[in-house]
Amino acid sequence: MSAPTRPEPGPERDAGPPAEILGGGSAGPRLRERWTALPARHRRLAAAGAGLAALAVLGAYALATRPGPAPPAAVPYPIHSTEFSFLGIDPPEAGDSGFDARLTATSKTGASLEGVTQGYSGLKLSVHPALPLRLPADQPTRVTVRFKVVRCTGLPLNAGLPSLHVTLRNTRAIQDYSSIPGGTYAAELSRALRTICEPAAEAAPGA
Amino acid sequence: MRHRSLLILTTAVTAGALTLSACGSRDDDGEDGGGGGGTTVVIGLDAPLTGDLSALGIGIENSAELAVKTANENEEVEGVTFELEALDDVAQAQQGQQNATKLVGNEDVMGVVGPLNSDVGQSMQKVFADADLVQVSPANTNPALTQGENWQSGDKDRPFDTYFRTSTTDAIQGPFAAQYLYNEEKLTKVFVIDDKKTYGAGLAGTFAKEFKNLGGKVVGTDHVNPDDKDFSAVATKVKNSGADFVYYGGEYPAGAPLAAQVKETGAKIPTVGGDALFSGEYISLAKKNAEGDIASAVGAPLEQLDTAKQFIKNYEAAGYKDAYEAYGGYSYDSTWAIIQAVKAVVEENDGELPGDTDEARLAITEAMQGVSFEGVTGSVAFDEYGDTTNKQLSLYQVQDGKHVPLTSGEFEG
Amino acid sequence: MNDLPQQLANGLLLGALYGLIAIGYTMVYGIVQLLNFAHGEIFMIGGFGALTMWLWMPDGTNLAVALPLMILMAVACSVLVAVGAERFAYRPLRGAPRLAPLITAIGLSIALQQAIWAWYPDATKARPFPEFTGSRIELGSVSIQRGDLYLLIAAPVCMIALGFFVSKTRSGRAMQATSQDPDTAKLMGINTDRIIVMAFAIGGAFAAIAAIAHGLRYGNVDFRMGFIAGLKAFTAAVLGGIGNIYGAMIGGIVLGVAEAMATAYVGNIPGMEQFGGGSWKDVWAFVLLILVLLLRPQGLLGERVSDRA
Repeated sequence: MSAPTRPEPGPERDAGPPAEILGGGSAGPRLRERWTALPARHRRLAAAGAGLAALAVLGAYALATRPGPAPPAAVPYPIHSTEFSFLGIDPPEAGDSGFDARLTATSKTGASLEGVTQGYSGLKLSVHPALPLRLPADQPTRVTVRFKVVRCTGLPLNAGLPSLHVTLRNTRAIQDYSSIPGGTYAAELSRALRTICEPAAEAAPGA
Repeated sequence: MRHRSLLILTTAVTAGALTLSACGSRDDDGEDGGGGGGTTVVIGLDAPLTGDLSALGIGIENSAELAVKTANENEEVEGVTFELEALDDVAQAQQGQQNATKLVGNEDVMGVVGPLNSDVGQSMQKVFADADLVQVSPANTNPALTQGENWQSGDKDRPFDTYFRTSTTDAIQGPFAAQYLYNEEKLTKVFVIDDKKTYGAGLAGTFAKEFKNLGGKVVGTDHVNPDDKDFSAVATKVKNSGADFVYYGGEYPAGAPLAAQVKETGAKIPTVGGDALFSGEYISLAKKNAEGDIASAVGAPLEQLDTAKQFIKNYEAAGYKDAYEAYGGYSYDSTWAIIQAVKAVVEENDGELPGDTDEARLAITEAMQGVSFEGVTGSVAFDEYGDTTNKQLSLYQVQDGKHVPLTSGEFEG
Repeated sequence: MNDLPQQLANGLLLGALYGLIAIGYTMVYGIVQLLNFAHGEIFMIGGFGALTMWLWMPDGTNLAVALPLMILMAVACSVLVAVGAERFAYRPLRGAPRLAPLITAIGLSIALQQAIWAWYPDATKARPFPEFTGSRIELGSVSIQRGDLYLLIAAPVCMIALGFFVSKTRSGRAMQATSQDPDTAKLMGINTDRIIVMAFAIGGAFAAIAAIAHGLRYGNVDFRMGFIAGLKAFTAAVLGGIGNIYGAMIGGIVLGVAEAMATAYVGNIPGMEQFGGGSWKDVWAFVLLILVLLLRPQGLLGERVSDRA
C-alpha cells in the first residue's frame, strides 16, 4: 500500500494537540489557487458569466413567482349591489281604484329585475316597463309600479314599513328580498289607500 | 404603649397601601404616546364578556381584536400601532358607565367599540360625549340612541355627536318581522312578551304597533323577569290565549327557556324575536323546542358577502375558541371605522396624531362622520344621526338545529 | 279560569322544588340558628355534579338509566360541600357573635358561585342539562312534563323518609333533642357535633335532589341558579315556620302556588291589570309572606327553634 503524499506516521505517535486544519477540508486552498492561476482575461470573463447567470436565475424566479393577474372581483349578490329610490306616488284620481308609485332602480354591476310583488292580499300590482327589466350597470332606471285596490277589507291603511318583494338576477345569483322604500313611501302609500278605501268606509253605516 | 405601636403600624400600612395604589394608577396614564414615530393608539372595547350574553360579547371582542391585528400587520396607519383594551360590562348599565369613565381616563384611548346592550349604551353615551371620545356600537338597536327620545313621532334629534353605530335599529327590525309574519306566514294572532329592558321593550313595542297596523291581533301581553327560569305560568297563559305565535322582546338566556316552555305546554307555536335571539346559544338552550323559531338579525346573511367570507376565513385562521356570533362582522367594521378615522386624522396632520389627547379625540370624532369603506357587512358609512347607511336585515328560522336565512330586506331610506 | 288546574299544577311543582331546598335552610337554622346563605350554592353544585356525571356517561345512554348515577353524584357533591362548609367555615365560629357566621355564609355563597364560574368548563353561560323527551303526560285537564314525574315522586318520598328518620330513628330523635336544647342533649350523651354534621348533610342531599329536578324541568344549569332559588327557598322556610321541616315543604308549596296564581290571575282582577303577569309575581309572593308573618309571626306551622337564652 502506497501512501503517496504523506509520510508514514512514526510508531510512537504522541496524541499531541489536535492538528489544526487551515482552510476547509482537503479541497481547501485549491479553488483559490486555481482562481489566481487563471489569466486575468479569463477571470473577467468568468466573473461576467457568473454574474449573468445569477441575474438569469433571479429573473426567472421573479417571473415565475409574480402575482398572477388579480382574479376578477366576484360580482356581489343583487341585494348588495342594487338600490331602489322612491320618487313618489301619484295620488289616485277620484273614482279610480289604482295609483302609481315611481321608483328608480340602480344596479352597480348590472342586473335584471325579474319580479315585483307585495304582500297585501287586497292589492294587485303590475310593473311598467314590462318585466324582466334589464338594469344596466350604474344607470338609474325608472320603474313605475301600478297598484290596484281589489279589496279594501284587510288592507292596512297605516302600515309603518310596507315593502316590495323584488326578484333580481345577476351573474352571481337570483335573489328575492324585500325592498323597503324609505322616505315617504309608507306615508304616501297609506294616504293613497285611504283615499280609495276610506270614502267607502265613511259611506257605509256604522264604523 | 401597645396602642401607640399599633397606631404607628396601622398608619404605616395604610400610607404604604395608598402610595402603592397611587403608583399603580399613575402608570396607567403615564405613557403619553407623544408625537413622532411609533405611537400607540388604544381602541377600547366594552361588551359583556362574562355572564349570560358572553357568547355574543366574546364574539365582539374577538372580532375587534382581529381587526386590530390586521391593521397592525398591514400597517394600515403608518407610524401607529393599535391596541385593544377590552372591558367587561356584564350587561349592566352601571358597570358600563364605570368602564366608560376608565376608558376616558386612559389618554391613549382614541375610540371605543361597544357596547352590546342598548341600556348600557345609554349610560355610556354622555361620558364619552363629554370627553369627545368617539364610540361606535356594533349592536345597539334602540332608535333613541341616535335619533332622540321623540324619534317615533318623527321628531328626530341626534343627542350625541360622538355616538355611531354599524347596526340597524329596532325601528326597522320590529316592523320588518311584523310584515313578514302577517303577510307571508299569514299568522294573525300574537302574544307579545318582553323583559322590560330598554332593548326588549322597545323592540316588542315597534313590532306590536306595526302588527296592529297591518290588521293583526295582539291577543295578550306579558312581561317576564329575565333572571327567572320558570315561565310555566306565562306559557300556560299563552296556550290558553290561542295565539298563532309568540313575539319575545328580549335576549336569549330567557328567550330560549321561554320558547321551550311555551312549546312544552302543548302549544306548537313558534317564538319570534329580535337579534338578541339570533345565537347558537339559543338553539343549544332550547334544544329541539327551538325548531321553527324565528329571529331577525341586522344585516344580510354574512355568507352572501364576499368581504364577509374573507373575515370568516381570517377569524377561523386566528383560532378563536368561540364563534363570532351575530355581531362579529359589525364589531370588525366598527373597529375598522375607528382605524379609518385615525388614518384620516393622521394623514391630514402630517403623518402623526395631534399630541394633545383631547384635540386628537375631537379630530377623530369629526373624521368618523366622513368614514366610508367596504367592510365585512357591506358598505360602511354613517348618516347625520350616526346611524349606518347600510340598512339590511334578515330573518332566520331554526331548521334542523341551525339558523337558516328565511328572507332579507333592505331599507332604502 | 279554565286553566286553574294547570296553573295549580305548575305552582305545585314549582313549590315542591322550593320546599326541597327549604328543608336544608330550616334544618340548619333549627339546630344551630345559622342562616346558611351558601345553601343555594350547595343546590347549584349538586346540579353541576349531576351534569358532570351525565357528561361522563357514554353517548346515547338512556336518561332513565343514568338518572340514579346522576342522583348519587349530585348528592355526593352537595353533601361534600355542605359538610365541608360546616367543618371549615362554620364550626370554628361556634362561639362567635351571631353576625360572624352570617357574614361567612354570605362570603361562602359568593365564593362558591365564582369558583364554579371560574373553574367549571364553560360555566360562564348556562349549560344544557339532559331532559326527558316525549310528549307531555295528560292527567285530566292537567298536563305535566315527563321530567316533572321525577319531582312528583322524589318530593313525597323524601319527606316521608325524613319524617320517619326524625321521629323513629335514634339519630333523628337525637336531632330533635339537639334542636330543642343542645346543652342538655350534650349532657345526655348525644354527640351534638355529629348531629350538626348530619343536619347539613341531609340538607345538602335534598338540595341535590332538587337540583336534578330543576335541571330536568328547565333543561339547563347555570352558576347563578342557586341565588334566586335559594332566596325563594329561604322565604318558603320562613313562611312555613323556620326550623319546622314540614313547614318548609308547606311553605314552599304555598309560595309556588302563590307565584303561579299571581302570574295568571291578578291581571284579571278589574283595576289591577298592570299588576299582573310575570314581572309582578315576585312582588305578590313577598306580599303574601309579609301578610302571613304579620298575622302569624311564627310562620304557618310554627317555629321549632331551640331556646337559646
